[in-house]
Amino acid sequence: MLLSEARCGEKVRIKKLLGEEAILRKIEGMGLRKEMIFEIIQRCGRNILLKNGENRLAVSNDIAKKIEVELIEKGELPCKTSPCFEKTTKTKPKWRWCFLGKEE
Amino acid sequence: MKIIRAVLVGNPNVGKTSLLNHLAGSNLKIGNWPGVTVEKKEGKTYFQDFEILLIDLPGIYTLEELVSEDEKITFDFLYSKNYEVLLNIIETPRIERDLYLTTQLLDLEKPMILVLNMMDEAQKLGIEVDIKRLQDLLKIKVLSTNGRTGEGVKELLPAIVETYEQEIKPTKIRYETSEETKIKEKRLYFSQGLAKEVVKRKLLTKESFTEILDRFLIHPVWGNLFFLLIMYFTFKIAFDFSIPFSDWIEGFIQNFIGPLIFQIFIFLGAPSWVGDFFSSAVIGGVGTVLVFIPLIFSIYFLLTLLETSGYLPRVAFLMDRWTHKLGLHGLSVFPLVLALGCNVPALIATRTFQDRKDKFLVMTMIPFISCPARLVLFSFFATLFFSQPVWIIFFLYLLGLVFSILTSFLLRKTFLKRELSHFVMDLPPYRIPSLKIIFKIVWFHLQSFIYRAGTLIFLISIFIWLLLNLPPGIQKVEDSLAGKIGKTIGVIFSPIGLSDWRITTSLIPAFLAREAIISTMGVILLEEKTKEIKEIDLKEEAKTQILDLIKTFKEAFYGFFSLWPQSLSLNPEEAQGLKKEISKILTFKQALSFLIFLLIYNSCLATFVTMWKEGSKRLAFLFLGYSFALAWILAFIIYCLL
Repeated sequence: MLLSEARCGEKVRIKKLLGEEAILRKIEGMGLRKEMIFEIIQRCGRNILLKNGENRLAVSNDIAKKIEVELIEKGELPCKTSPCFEKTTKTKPKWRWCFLGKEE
Repeated sequence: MKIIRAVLVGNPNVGKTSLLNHLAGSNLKIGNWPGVTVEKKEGKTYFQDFEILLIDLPGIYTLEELVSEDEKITFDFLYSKNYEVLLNIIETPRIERDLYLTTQLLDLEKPMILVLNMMDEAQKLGIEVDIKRLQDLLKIKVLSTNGRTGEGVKELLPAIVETYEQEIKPTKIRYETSEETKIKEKRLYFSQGLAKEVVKRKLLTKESFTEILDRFLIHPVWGNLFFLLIMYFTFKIAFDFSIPFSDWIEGFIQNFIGPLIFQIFIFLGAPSWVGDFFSSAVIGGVGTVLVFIPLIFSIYFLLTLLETSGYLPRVAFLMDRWTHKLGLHGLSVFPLVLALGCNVPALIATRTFQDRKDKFLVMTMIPFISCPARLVLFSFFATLFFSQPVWIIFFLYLLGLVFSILTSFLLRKTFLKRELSHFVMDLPPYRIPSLKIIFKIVWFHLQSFIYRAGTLIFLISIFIWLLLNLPPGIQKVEDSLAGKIGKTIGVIFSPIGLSDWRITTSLIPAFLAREAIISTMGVILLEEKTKEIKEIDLKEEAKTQILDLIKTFKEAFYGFFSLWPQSLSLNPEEAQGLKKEISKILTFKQALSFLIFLLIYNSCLATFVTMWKEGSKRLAFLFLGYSFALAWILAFIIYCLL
């Protein structure tokens, strides 16, 4: 799966950075590297806030789409402390509070 | 004496500049967000028989790919300039991340020292680093420091000398391949292995200070509310705390210092023009500007607190939700907040941008953000013409922001059209800044404000005073050269209600420095006024001044702790001295039109030059014309509507 698909509260392992763009190399330098485990602590607007130890990184969705990850732990409640809006469908954007859980 | 050039290099926001400030006793700008240093900075110190030149480079995450101008500066320096020792600064709590850059620096094969900064923070987080093992593995000196307190910093000097003299070069990674991807992979594994070997982490279950604060401060809903509250209290405290002191300084200069010096002149038998020059150019010019020292102090104190606490990156993260709708990423917030302190460093801070169009766009937004020089003006005129000055100042700040956003929106849709760039940002932990460091930074800003008042403003005041007295023998001040110039350009400003030559003349030096408006008006109005030599009883006046000062402290104390702005309601009729004279030549309508013109029109010469240097000549001139036209039209609308 891609990082952009990960939900709040989930823990993911970075598998691969897809592409050779300079920004991806920078992200690697910032600590988002292969085999590292990150927790998604907030999704807000177009951004995802990730945490690994003392490292906290905010990345936008377009970058997250270029990062392949493996889900290793599901959060009990996505976005349990940080409600935020997110798009649920591609064709018809529908806004809702993401702490209500994933729409089936 | 031998010179050792030691280069400080590391990831952004690891405390390189703080270490340089401790080592060289400098006052370079620091902050708790990535991208504070965007150009090469230097400082020097002496140790034994050596002059150690410390070179601070902008932070860089990797040398493998470059995305912004500041990273290019670091890269070019490391690969093409001469230096003797490399000081690789590591943020110890994030040592695993930082060692990746270290592995790239090893390839430079230069004498090197590894500096584990922020060791105190690492210990609090249960992180232990085996320094001896790290030294053995890398075969270089490894030292631990605390950039906030300066602990361990002095030990760097003998280490630099030893590394230089013995040419202590680090271990070399054997890649055994020339393939770029494999080299990168090897570097990555090397750094990960190194970190595993030397770092031990205790399992801490309690939440960190940063995690607790972030629950509220970057919360998608409460975070915005907290941001508004923080900004409100920043300006409320700055204003309420400084106004009583400014009033006291004004009274002290006009009622005590002025008459005292006059008495000294009389006692010495000095000619009348000396007293005239003193009252107009010094008291009326420089003195009027110095009244605002408390305001400058408090605004810089609070802005420095914000910059060093780690809150700014959170603002950028929060604001990206709104700014990306305008085609800008949240990082644009950094220069815009910096512009509240001064437009010039804010323009330079755009070097961190990856795209030139983004850079130009933010550059055109910055001059609309009011700096303390404009706040000085706003507070001077607002307290004089409006019964509720706080709301007027708030309105002006907001109006500046609105036009900043409108300009960017317009440009994004036309000349600077491009798709929204991605957002990547490192959120540093919150840090409680040292008061000593904050006061040092504030003192640096105050010094430059006083220096400007003593040099530029003083020279402008002398020049204006001369223009007011030329040609020699004029009967009326308005027949002077200054009067003629003011009347000539009055044609342009007459439709916006500013036809009085005294006002238009003061607009000319405003391009050099905004606060020069007040000093120029002071010089003109005091020159027009019939000179009265006021005799004072020095003992009595000194006693009054001391009692007033005690009262001032009391007012400032209450102002600081009140929730509602204390300076919200003032009585303009109580204005004295220069303020009283100015209130005679301007009406409420004219004052508002004047303030709006000054708000929108390109801030000052320094901003224009920096825009030229950092952007382009065309951009600087086009913006100058645009801001002038916009300022004039807005002032005209306001003047006609009211």
